[in-house]
Amino acid sequence: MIQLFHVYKSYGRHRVALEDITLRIEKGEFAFLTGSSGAGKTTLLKLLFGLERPDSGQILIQNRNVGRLRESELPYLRRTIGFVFQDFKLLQKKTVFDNAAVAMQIAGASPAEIRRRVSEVLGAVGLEHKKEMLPLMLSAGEQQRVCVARAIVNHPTILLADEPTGNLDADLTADLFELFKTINAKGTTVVVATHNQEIVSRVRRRVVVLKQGRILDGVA
Amino acid sequence: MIRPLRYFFKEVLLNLRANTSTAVISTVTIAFTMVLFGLFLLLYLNLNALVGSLRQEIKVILYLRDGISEKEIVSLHDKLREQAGVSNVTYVSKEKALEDFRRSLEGQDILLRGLGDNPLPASFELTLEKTFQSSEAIRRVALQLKGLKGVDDIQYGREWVENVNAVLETVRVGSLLIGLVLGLAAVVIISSTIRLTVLSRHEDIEVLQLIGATRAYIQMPFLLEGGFLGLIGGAVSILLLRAVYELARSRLTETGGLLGSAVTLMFLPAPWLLIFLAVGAGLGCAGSLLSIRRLL
Repeated sequence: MIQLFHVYKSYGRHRVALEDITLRIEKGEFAFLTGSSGAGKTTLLKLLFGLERPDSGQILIQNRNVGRLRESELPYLRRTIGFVFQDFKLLQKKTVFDNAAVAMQIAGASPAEIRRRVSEVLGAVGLEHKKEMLPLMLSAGEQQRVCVARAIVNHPTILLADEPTGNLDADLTADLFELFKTINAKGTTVVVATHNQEIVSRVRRRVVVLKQGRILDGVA
Repeated sequence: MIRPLRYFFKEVLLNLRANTSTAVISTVTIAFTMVLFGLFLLLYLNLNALVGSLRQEIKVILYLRDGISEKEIVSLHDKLREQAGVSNVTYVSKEKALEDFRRSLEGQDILLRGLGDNPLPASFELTLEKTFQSSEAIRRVALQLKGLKGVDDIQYGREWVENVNAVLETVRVGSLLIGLVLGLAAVVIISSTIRLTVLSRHEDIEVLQLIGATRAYIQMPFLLEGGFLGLIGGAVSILLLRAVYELARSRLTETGGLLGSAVTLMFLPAPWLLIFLAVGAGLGCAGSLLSIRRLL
């Protein structure tokens, strides 16, 4: 479960990114964070992932206060949260297989376990036939799918995605959301930040609307 | 631990392959540093061995007053044998002293012709134990013996002993200082070299942090890389030192040994070789750590 209580975050004196955010996302829920550019969607995801710390307020993820975790505890939080980055953040010198495998290696999985699970998730994102390729040899959509594979390979309890459709055409976007729904159906909480209204209305899940750092709608 | 180790070693190999030139620079730096330090160490060890052998020749000579009775000589001999620090006592009678003197002047007997009665005194030659061969210890023993009944004078190569000790101490301190300075220089150079690698992998490091890698997990390949380069540098330095040693030994054999003594030139003993490898690896690790602690 994700809970935010009166969370504030600003960058410098004049740039308020988030203001008095109180939000609760239940375990196993699928929620969209929407709003125009600069509304605070990415900042909110960064706070949940421990990439930023709130100026004030509390953020609880599975009863852990993320804002107060020590730097040395953050890696362990991140192993339970999959993150699909807008700019993919792939290891450019590693193959598709290795990009997904490294997340499992970090978590201490055995080589046999890694081989089995990585093949499974690469199959799920439709990239098993490209597992020996380097990211630069792939299209943007394919790189996005490698990023998804890496995010779900460790069976995360939460999956966060920041503008995951930014580089995808309509068909690939639909495929990606089918995948998210499947992951969600298996019990993973999914939070997707997007300004793509079309996909929001098509998927029909909970929508939290942000505007200039405040929640306009969807708190409950 | 075995699973990540495989990954770490794989990363080290990939990194070395990608940054061969910087790796070579690091290795050469460590090797060069350790060769210089090793040369001082070899100098120290060999001087120490030489001095040790020369020290064995240090003798304290007690000249006895003329007219000393045989009974007094026997009593003195017993006392000297019981004296702390004395390992061997040899009595040299007046006759033996003259005979030795004649032998040393062989071919120049003419110098002894005018000699009437034997003017040379009887004496005791004392060899000291190893722990009593410092100039201070010799001085103390000599002082204690000076008051013995029947002893007229005492001689020992005090100045010589002190000079040798001073030279040895200078070489020891010098090699330590030079080792320390060069070691620090090597750490700084390796640190800069590894920093280039860390910077070139900055994006990868960021990704690893994002997917839950701990600081130790990220640092380990760099530490291993530094340690590995250091180890290779240490091994190369041993080979270079051996070459220098062989060259010096062949030159010395041609010129008749070390200061004409029976001491042969020695190379670093086996434990020192291991220490050398360990120091090389340590320097490499320290350089890496310095660099990644600053950047991570």
